Amino acid sequence: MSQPYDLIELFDVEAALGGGWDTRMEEEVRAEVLSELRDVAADASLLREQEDWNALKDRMVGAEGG
Amino acid sequence: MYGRVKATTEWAARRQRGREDGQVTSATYGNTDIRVVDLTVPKGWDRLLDRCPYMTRWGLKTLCSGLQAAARTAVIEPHYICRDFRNLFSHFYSKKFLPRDAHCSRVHFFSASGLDELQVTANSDAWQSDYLGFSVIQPVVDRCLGRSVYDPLRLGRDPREFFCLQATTPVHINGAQYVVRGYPYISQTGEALVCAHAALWGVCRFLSQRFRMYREVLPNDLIQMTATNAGRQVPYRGMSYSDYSEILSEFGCYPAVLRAGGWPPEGTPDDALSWTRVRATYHDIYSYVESGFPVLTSFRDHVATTIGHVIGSAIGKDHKPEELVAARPVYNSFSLIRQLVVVDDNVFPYALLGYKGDPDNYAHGSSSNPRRSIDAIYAAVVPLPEKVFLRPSDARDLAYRFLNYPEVTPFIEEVLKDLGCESDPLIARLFVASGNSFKVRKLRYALDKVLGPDPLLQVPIRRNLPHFLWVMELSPISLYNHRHAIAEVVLDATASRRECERVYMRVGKRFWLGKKGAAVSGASSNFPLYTHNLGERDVSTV
Repeated sequence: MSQPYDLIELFDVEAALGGGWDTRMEEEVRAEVLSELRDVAADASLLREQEDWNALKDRMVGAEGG
Repeated sequence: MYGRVKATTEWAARRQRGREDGQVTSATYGNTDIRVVDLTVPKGWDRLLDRCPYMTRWGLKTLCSGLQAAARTAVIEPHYICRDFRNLFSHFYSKKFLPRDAHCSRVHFFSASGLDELQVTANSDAWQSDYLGFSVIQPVVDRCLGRSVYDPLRLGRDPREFFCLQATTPVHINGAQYVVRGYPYISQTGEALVCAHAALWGVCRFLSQRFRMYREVLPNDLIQMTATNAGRQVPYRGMSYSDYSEILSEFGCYPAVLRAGGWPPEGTPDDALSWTRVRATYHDIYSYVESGFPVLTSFRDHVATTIGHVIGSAIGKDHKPEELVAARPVYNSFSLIRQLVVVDDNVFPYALLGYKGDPDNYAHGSSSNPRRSIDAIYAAVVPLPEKVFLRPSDARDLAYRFLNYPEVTPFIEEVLKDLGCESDPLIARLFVASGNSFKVRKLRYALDKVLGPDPLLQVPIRRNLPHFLWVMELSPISLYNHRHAIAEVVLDATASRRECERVYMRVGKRFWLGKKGAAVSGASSNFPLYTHNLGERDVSTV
């Protein structure tokens, strides 16, 4: 019975990339995100969470018979 | 009591008589008195009430509801010392005037019939595959089910659609060793333990059994962690999700609190609630469930723990695409979830929490649980590890940006065309995985060669990975139902949204790493979905 390490050939990632193409994907996506973040005064989702916390802070669960 | 000594049960009374007769030693070190009950005979289950010390009608009814279809034999240990109950006894019950036993009993269930004590103890290997699990039976009023663990897949759940968290628990019966894989359950006594404690105990016990970094906590530890600013800790201390967050922090987690925004005005009936009011929050909660975190799920007056889901093959009726990728609608994989799997201390574990109106919802038509449904969730607390810094909403947003990058979308279209799935809606699944478990699974897939040799499965194996990853898998629905994907975006979960760190990305036979992209002719167009977080097993081992 063959051993597991006989079953595959190691894939040379760097060699594969060497035959590939250049991309600016990460830089451009990051730039897009940073640009959007600069344009908003505050994180809307954080504001929403804070708002909800205030509305729900007194709700209790887990009491008798829960 | 109050003038006459009255033990709480017949068993306790017998022990009391032993003490009076000066037989403490023989009673303490006596025969374990293992009892076997054949559940297949008429009124077999009712015999548990007589044969199993401390068993109550509620306990019997609850066990019956979950086990009746699978269990054929019960094995009772009448004299069992449970560290969880002993802890509560020492810190709470011993302070009462009412005499109460410090011991428990324990009942095990097997799917085989005709077992006797010799078979169970002398040949555990032969009966391991029939072992369903156990419950400690506590000497308390009504809610008697103490620490319990059952294997959901041996109780008739379909492993192709039912996925939930499980930890392995070793069990000994007179020296015979069994193991059970399941999620720990305990009922609330309504005195020292309320539902929040029961849920927190399950979360902490699951984590401490599954991961060595967490210490084991006992019930009174959780009570002591409960803040006193809202009143005394026992009995009947109502708790909110801010309490859970504080307790889980003290336990060693870094909890995230998710609140369902837009909570309706006071007095709004629960039946009027709909999950669709806050789709993004539900998608976040579901991402954490899919990531293998037990999620404390708050309803208006109760809490249960979401530990998994039942997946279907069709998109649910109220679900809408959450994004477009390559100009095609993409549905969150939450749209395929029929029910969530919850542990609610009021019922047998692995209850199915459906949408309102779902006849399979465990609370459907129940007068005592009218509000429990997916729609009625208003908050969730997730016991995260420290280094999962990126929020699911940010991970989702970043992953979609990468998938929609102009260089990428033609390749997605090409793969869909090659696979003949152009008209399929796309499904996106987002989850957290540890770098290590991600590598383990990818290596397994590479070795198994399910779809033939696929060198791209090795890309993450041979990289330095962060401790935690956010992974988004993309698949046309027909392929998703066979548990395969055509694309994946792997993000560094320890990074921030601003850092925007993509570890690597794959679409069919192409991949991107750093500032390079490449096509690999020997790669497969699709690859297996990552499965590990929710205790998936090979069907052959079930």
